[in-house]
Amino acid sequence: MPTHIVQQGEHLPGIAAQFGFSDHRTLWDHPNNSALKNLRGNPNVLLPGDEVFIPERETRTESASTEQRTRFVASAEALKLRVKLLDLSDDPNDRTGKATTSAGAADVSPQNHIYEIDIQSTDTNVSLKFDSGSPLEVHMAVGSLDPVKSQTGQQERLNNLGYFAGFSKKIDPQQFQWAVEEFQCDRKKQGLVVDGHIDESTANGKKTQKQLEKDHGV
Amino acid sequence: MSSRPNPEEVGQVISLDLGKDGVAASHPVEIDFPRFVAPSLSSDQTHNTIKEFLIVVGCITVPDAHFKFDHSFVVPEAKASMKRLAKMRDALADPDQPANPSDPNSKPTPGAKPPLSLFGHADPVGSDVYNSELSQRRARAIYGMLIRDVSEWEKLFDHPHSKGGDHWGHDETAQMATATGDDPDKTFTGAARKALIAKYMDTVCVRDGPSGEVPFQLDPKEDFLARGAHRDRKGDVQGCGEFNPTFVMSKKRSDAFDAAKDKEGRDDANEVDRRVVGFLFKPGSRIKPEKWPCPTMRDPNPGVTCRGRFWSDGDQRRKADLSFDKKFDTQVRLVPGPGPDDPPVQHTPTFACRFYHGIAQNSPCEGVSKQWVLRILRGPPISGKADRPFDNQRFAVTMGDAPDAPEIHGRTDDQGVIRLPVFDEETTMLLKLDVGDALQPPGVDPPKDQGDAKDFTPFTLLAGDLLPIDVEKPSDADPADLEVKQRLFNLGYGKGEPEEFDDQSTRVAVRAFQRNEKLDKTGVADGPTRKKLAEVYQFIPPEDSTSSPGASGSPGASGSPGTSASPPPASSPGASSTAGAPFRR
Repeated sequence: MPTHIVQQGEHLPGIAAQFGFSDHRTLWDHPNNSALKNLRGNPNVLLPGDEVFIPERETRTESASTEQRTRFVASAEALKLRVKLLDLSDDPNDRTGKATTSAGAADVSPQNHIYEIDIQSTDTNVSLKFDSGSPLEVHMAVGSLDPVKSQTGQQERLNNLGYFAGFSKKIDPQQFQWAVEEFQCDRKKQGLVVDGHIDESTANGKKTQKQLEKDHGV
Repeated sequence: MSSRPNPEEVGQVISLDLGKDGVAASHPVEIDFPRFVAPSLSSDQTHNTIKEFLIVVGCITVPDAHFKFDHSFVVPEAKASMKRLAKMRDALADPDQPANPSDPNSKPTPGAKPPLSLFGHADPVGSDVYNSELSQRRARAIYGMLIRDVSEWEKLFDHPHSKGGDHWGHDETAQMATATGDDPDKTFTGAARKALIAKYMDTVCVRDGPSGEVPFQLDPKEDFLARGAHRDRKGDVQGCGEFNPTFVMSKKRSDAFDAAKDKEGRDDANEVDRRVVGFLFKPGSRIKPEKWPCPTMRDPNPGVTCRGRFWSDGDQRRKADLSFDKKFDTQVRLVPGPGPDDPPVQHTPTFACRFYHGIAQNSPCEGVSKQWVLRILRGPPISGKADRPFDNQRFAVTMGDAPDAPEIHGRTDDQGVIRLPVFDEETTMLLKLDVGDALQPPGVDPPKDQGDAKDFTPFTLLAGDLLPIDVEKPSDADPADLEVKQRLFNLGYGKGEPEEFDDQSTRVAVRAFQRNEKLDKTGVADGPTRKKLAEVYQFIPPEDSTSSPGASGSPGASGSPGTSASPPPASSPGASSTAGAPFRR
């Protein structure tokens, strides 16, 4: 059976839809994907190069009368993009903005400081724009967030949290170290030591990674 | 902050005098890139957190020469720094930024100014403790003058530096009186001293107005990064002591100075480190003092607070180091080399404070970082006509060819110059120019800004592919070498791409260049031709130069697609590429 290699910007619900599955769990819970599931934990955060086993689709029989139009609607999974916006002092941005997806623009207000935007599994670019108060527009690449275990995933989360760690997927060691140390420095109270390590080879690195995932929210 | 700027919102790149007289510069560009996020299923509770970036849009340096030596007193020469600050604030004002961003209903107020934060610095001579206090006092002196707080200067008079040295007294009142036209021999105390301070501040803290100099002052509650929210101005004013030098001596040199009786040489060498830097942040930026890591302006022991934010190897970064001696006599960020004609020395981070590094690392005020320098001319080249720069036009540059490559928006300056940060020394850049008016005959007013960057005319630049040109090399190469062809191509001569110039068209191009530059029309790239070509190619009109002599290392950019890769002439002093006439094809 075919194996799908994950590309940049892909997540499991999107891959499921691409292969005609209405529920990503058909793939995620398949025994052949158990290693992937254990490794990644979250079907929405895969690393380019990950291999997803694509099972055979079950055939379903539906009856329909001739001479009459019958509509079959493929049920696509409802996905959300949930975003918390913080200002320079870590205070949440709580105002009504405009979210633009492939379906168009719609007003969105935060619930418990989180903006929830309905998206399609095919949406890759979403923006959130605020015209009132201080003008702000946030562009987001949906599905491009890598797992926190990968260095690019760490870089992306650090960038999102306001610690500039370098531009997309390119690691500048100096800038990356800057961001990791600044992040650790702001979290000494949580027990982090400022040593620039975020890899799993040290206890402090492991702890830093955990904290980063927690503070980012995924 | 990740907002995508409209090109109109981006301040024009401006930069004023440099050198010992201080620096003022806009941080030239605003960079935009998408945030990478994960979707969530309805059932899970995951989310993404996105925080604004603290963005520096400009800086000014109040140099050592604007203070009394080893003191915090602001001398009359500081007027130059104050004028630059006023000019820079105007230039970087954001027309769409509301005056009160914390109020969601506040309407945009045209011209909101970029908020300021002042950082005092000392040189490494003397103790950490002494230097921390001196740098703090210098920053306070500037701050007090900017907000016209006479009592701040009274405090400086009444409380000398706790370790001696810097004290304000009769010398200071005499200097002020001289500048204000009062009697320098008089003793000023009490109300008379207050009045003198106020008058002196109005004399020094001035800006250029339509009819001459006018005093200006800043509002402590509006014009600083923390909006004066903290009693002791945390976030608005701080002293960094000697922790963030832009210049570090080698051990050898430092030891030699220590042994010398006369310390003047050392003091001169260290001058660049004794400065107050003011950073201007994106209009609307505001921080809460309790989230700011730097000491307050009255922190009795600021060094302790600063150390809390050091790099894990902070002390090594700022110290004279034996390992430097093997490579360089002087270790600097990117200021001129040891001798007047030496190229700038390799960039090495020297800031011990990691937080400061994040703000200042790429600031033109704190040593010069590498830039791509492009000068865009309107083509084609015309004999006997001066360059026609593609001035004050909008551009957008995609740095690299990845789908999510950062995009930079800005505007060319009066000389058609664009300066871009170097992320990669070899990269493909897509430069898009707003040529809306380019085809208009001269004398016709250009149309108002309109349209989107995606409608701009694109040019592919192979940054880092430009071969160095050696003007000393005796060459009568016929046909010309590739480095000659590349430059001719970029300047708008020749047909096709440089590698594909055939012998005949190369000779035609060389001859056309020789004709325009009044050289012998031999069609052969001889010595004088190569020399002239290098000169024309590197030329940036001096009044527009943003860099101190020899301080801008810029890898060359070649506008020629498909040129074979070669290392850029890294750190070549003052190198700037003139991109060719974009409209000849």
